[in-house]
Amino acid sequence: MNNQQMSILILDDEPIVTKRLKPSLEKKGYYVETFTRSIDAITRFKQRPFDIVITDLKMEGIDGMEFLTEVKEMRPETEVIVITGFATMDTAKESFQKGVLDFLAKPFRLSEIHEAVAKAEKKIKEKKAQN
Amino acid sequence: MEWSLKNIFNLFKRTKKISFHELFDHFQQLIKENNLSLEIIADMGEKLSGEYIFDRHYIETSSINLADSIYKMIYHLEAIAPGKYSRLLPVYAKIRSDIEEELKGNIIIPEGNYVLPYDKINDEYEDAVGGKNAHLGVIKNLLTINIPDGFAITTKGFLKIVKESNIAGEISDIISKWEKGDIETSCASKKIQNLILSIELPKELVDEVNQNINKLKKRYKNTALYFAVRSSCIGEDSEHSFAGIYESYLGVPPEDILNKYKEVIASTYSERAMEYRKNKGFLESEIAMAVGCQKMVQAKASGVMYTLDPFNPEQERSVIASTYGLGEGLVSGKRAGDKFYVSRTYPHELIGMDITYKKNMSQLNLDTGKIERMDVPDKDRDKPCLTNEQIKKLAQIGMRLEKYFKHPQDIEFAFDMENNLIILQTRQLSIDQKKIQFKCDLDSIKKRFEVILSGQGEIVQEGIAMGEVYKITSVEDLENVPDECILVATFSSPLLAKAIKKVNGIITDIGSPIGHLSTIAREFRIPMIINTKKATKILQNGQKITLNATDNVIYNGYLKELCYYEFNEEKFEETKEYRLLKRIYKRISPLNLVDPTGNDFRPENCKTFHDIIRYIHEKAVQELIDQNCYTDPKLSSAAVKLKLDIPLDLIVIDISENAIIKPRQLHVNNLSSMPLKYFIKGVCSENVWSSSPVGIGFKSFMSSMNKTFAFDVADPKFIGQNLAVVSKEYANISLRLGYHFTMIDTIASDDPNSNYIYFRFFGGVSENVKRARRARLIGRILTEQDFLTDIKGDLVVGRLKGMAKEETLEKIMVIGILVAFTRQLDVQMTDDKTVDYFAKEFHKILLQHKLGNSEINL
Repeated sequence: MNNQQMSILILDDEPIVTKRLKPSLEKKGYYVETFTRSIDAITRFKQRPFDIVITDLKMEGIDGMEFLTEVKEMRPETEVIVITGFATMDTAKESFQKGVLDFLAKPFRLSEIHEAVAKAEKKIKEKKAQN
Repeated sequence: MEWSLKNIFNLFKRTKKISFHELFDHFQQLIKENNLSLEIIADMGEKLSGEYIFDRHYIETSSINLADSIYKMIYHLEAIAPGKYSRLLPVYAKIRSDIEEELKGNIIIPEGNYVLPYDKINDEYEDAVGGKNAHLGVIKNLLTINIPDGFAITTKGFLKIVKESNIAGEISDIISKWEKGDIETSCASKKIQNLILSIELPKELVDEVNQNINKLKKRYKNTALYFAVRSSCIGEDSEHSFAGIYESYLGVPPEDILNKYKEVIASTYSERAMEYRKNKGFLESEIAMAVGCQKMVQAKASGVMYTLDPFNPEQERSVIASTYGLGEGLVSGKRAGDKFYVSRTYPHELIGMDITYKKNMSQLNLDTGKIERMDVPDKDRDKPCLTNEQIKKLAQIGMRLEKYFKHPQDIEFAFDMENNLIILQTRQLSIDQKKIQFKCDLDSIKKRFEVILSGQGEIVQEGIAMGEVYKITSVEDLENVPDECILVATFSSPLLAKAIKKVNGIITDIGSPIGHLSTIAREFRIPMIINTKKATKILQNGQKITLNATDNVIYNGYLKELCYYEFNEEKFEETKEYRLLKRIYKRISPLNLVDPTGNDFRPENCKTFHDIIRYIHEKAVQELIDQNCYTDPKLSSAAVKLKLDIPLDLIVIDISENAIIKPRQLHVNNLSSMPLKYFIKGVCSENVWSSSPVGIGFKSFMSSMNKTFAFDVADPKFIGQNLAVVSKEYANISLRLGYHFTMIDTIASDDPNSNYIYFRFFGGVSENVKRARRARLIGRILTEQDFLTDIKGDLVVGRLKGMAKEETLEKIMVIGILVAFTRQLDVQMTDDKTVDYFAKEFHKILLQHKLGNSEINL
């Protein structure tokens, strides 16, 4: 897996979320960067493309929905996973319309995010193979 | 319904009695809220496993939802019995406001504000007492390892002095000037320290410290007391080691403690400390200092242990440096001592030692409190200062600390004059990351190991454990659990909890993530997975395995790299959110009110939300029963008599929302309530009566019970009818069989986390000792049936939760059989041996009914 290490950007304004997700995903062999402010995340994304983005929805500043919309516009092949503590049908619907791959309500199990990331990875690899 | 005290006090002004229809409706709503609140509690408990990612938002919403749900229960109980239970309100308001304070970040200290004795400290109070003190509290109170007696002065003292006193403004001015670089560190440090040393300490703090000193004086009447006064800073013991940065004082007499306290507080602003924090990027606003006051130990020998030799990590050994007397010089590295190398794995063989010539030792002079140099007797100078037993004991305790704190430890210890091992301090061993590579390419290493199970179970507590498999198949096995094994059992029975301090990990075939054993495993941070379905079948006794309860995998052999890898990771137990949830959970979940017949079953004694839930539920059912539904013509339409072959006069009230009005008699087959159906199946099952101890038939027994029941001799609490309040998944069954009182309250639904059985039994006509024997018998049977059991005199309370629907129903049937089996049994319990005899008889009956647990279900 390491010859084609997947890169993941995580954005959540609660530091506990990024703090726990980072080592857990690194252990699985992914390259991970984390942000608690959307403005920093978007700046970083402009500098360096990421294969997978994991983002919260409700945050101060640019909110998650805006952030992921921008990510998808800049780089449509990036797979986005939404994690939120305010899960509603409407936000879920809107996320999927924007091309979000998966939608997890907080709290979630680490194994659930691993599965979602694995799904994203598979999809990216399949697309690459097609091209 | 908006929460406010005013609202509910208005509600309590009403006194009007309501119609049965309304009463019924309130009861139904109350049960709904009851179940909802228990679900929230279960959910919060599960989040403590480490497997979940949760944030503050989750803790806040769960706490508020729970509080609201309980508020509604109070409201419905008030509607059912106006004015009768108004004392619940202040109790509820207190717990709620404590939780709200916690959510705001204000830690509530149990007694007073400024001082917490070590026997009250656990890791939830880390923000109040600092890392060093919190660790000592955990070691003493949870792991039951000796530490010095004493107390902590909390960070509230520091905050009061530095942030709220008349010098606070001056201190903050100096700090901001220093941060801007306007003044030198040495100048700022001197000014702040002088300010602190000149201040008069808050009276409350002085009083609390003196109270605690007096308690210790009483406890150690005949010995001169001297203290070690040590710093315990917030964040000191985790990734940033402040070792030796702050002041510590030894041999401090009681009257000097407050002065030394001030000096330690002042040392927060020593030049060195300020520079250190600046370099490490600490914010001055984040600093808070607590202080530990520990009774000095007279030591035969003392020293330091590193649970992993940091110079030769590949050798898999711990290293101990020790000398006679006190270890002060040794700890600071000024003096050489004996060195011992011990294997990290059980049984911790001594691998090597390096003995020095020890001419002198330090001892505490009990007259002066001074530490003096003394000669070591000639004959001992060349000998190792620790015996093999002492080394082994130390190695074992060291590894326990490493496992609990999930990182190699740097431990200061002493053996006192009575040969007790006392832990003076433990902290993360700082390891040169250049020398030791904890992080490695796990993938390639894992490939070398056979995977026994992967992704099969459910994680109860995250973590990595290695050890030999020990399977439990009987109660006797439980007596012989070897140290540092991996316990493997069929079910996560509460019985296993007694081995928790010996085991490295737990694996079960089935179990409940919210049951008693799971709670205990989380408390002790013992890696545990349940519901593997087949662990007992595929794991062999003595097999060396690695349990990876973080990723839910079991490997054949010891995968040490995984264990080391984990050292490097942030411990989820140490995150602020985890500690907050744990603190709040402690105010929510423990159940203290178990005995509804006891004098202490009162609103004032509710310490947690769970207590309030239990209290309300109990009283609501009581109120409903007291309505005498069947005889009251107004209520009779809701109550139906159950038609049975046995003369059990049972009235059923179905509270399902669309329960239609039923015929006057209801046949068992037509019962929509599954729990009631299984209970009745148990009560009426064949053979229970023929093989049971009373020589009279069931029918005559039951009828005799009903007939001999005389109002003038019975306690009023036994009067009333046999009543079952049920819905499809719920049943509350209250039976008054003569002088016996039995109650079963249960939910059996598709969601295991909602399911529980609460069973209670008491009363009888014989003398106390026989009734107590029967209580022991019932208690034993319940325990063997995986119930968490409490016995008090002739009262037995059994609780079971979190099982799947089918298993719950089966247990309800067992309870039915038990109720029938134990009728009038107290009369037969002539000596203690009968407890054994009848327990075996009961197993035979279960066997006849092919109920899974005819053998003890472990």
